[in-house]
Amino acid sequence: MRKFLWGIVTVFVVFATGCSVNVKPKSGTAAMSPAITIKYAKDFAVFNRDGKQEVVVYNPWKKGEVLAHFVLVKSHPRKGEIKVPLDSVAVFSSTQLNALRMLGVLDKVTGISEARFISNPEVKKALAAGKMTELAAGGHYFIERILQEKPQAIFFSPFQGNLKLPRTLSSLTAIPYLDYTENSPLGRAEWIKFSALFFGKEKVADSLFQNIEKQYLILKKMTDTLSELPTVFSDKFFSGQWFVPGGRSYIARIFQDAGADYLWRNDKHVASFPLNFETVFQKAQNADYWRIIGTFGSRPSYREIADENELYTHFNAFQRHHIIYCNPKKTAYFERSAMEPQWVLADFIKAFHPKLLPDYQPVFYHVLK
Amino acid sequence: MHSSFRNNLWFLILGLLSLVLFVANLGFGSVMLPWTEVMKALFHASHTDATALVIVNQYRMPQAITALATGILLSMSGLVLQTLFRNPLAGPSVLGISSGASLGVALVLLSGSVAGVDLSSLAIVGNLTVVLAALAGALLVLGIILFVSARVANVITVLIIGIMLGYAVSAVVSVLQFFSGSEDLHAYVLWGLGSFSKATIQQSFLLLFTALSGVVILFFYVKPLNALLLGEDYARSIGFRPMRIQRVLIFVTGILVAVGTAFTGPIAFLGLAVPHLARGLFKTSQQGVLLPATILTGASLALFCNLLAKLPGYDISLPINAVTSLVGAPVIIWVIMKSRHVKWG
Repeated sequence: MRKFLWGIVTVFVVFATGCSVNVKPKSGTAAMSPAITIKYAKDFAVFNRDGKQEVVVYNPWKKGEVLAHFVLVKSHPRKGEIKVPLDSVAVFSSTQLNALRMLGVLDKVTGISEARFISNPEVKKALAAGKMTELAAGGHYFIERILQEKPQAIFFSPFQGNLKLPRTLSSLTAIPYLDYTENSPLGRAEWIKFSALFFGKEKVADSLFQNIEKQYLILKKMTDTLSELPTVFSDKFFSGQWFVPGGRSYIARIFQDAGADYLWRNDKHVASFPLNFETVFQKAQNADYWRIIGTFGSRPSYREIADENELYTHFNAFQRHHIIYCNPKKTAYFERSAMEPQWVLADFIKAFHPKLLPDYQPVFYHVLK
Repeated sequence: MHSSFRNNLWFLILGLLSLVLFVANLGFGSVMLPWTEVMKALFHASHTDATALVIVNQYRMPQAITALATGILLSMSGLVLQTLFRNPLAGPSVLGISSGASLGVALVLLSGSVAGVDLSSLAIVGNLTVVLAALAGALLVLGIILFVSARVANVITVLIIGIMLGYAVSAVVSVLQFFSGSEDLHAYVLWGLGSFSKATIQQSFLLLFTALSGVVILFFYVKPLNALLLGEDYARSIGFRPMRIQRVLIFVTGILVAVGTAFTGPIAFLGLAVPHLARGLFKTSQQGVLLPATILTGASLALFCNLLAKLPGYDISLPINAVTSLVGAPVIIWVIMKSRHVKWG
């Protein structure tokens, strides 16, 4: 009996996901032209079709497949179309909350997720005042509360193997927000243009992004002509595995743009992958810098890092006090960095080439003294 | 006479095997070092390559010692518990002690996302926090087991309570997992996969010392264990106090498993499989033979599994738990099939 039930569930899941991903982008028609320029982000596109905006979100895990598409209209929405601007939405990604804050539309947000991790004071205030409600936590949706609140749309972050909201929420408009699968720092920030579409804030988003882009490119240019690039590696050994960021990952790109030679730059992974300690040690033992993100007690120091694992003391970067450290809790890194890639880049330039930015005060990462 | 010669031969083979495997664990790894470099590193010869020095002495050595010590302490705990409970499926995990360790670690690694209080960022050192949490969790469960065993007359009741306690503790861990963020969950899952490379060189020697102390203590209990095999009444008739012996042995094996799990994470299958393997090789139920046999077999098997998990020459390594189970399960099946054949055929 149980097997039978599981069979039904499986069929349902296959059916449900199959339906959604089969929608093909209606490209190639004469009436369709790109509505806004997307320069760096690769997982969404916006087209003009008969005076209406069509937004397409691609499946980052399957090339050429469309994950979702939406038609946005200013008035008289037909079935399946979304009338913008929206004025009550649930937002389940903290990086998107930060983008919405920059666009000045936080007051349209009525529901959020993971309230305990939020450090944004405006969101905290709205939560305390009851203007926002927690609608999901720990990767689980509070179905009944969401159905009661009935936001006009839910922005959620799909992850591989779980591309949809639960079926019980199928009556609501679910919009995937996938900035974190972008491996280029500017591509990640460009998702602010995606958010803006739903609130009629395209112009604001454009100028905000242009500013980020300008600053980023100026900083990047500073390192273009450098001939001596320090070597760098990343992360720590835990429980027998060392998860190393892939050569095509976000952080690998930042290292490169900041004028450093990432030891795994020729690797093909886009995400982190596990390696043996010996392999990492042999390759990274003499590297100049070591990037660590994480929490080490209240005041991280070389002593605490050595206490965590004595093997760390044998790295050249440790001995030279060249650890580039970020405390994600204190800096709200995971909330803020997506929309502030220029400061992440500047932090690393300051670490690798202090002479280039003598007066700059680091935002997220600093070289541990 | 014949069988004692056979046993001695097996002891010799297993002893040599442990030694060879221990050396192999020092010599092979992801980074292929020439044997001359390995030897130079081991004896701290001058002009040793700095990389080899760290890899051999600081990484492979503690890992090999940890594998050796864990192999010994889990296997002999398994043997004692199987004898004590007269149950072939008993093992270090049945008393809920490793589940207790998991609970302790889960509280540290997952509390951040559940309660908002991040215990792992407390002033206590990261690595040691996890070890201490595992130890505290394991000892808590052991304490409950001992408390109960002092109040019930039947050893099987203790076994059942241990298993139930294990379920209850695992349920709490599931709830914690259910509510935690993916990063924390990842850390916890990695811990649960077990690893012999978590312990520092000092910690690995501490583990080995614990294991060897356990060996010494348990050798004093060979006679009572033999007597218990023939039944509690028999043991009582020749002057032993079964209740007392059971309590002491639960305490000793509990401490061994708690310390082992604290430094390596839960290691599957060794404690259950090795005593059977030893019985299959030595064809006896004599604890005086089985205890050293189990110790040597356990040491060899743990070192062998660690060598496999390292995938010499490759950049990645497998989680040790996957390897112990993959190697352990066929071994058990083989032993059972073989002994059946002997019996029935």
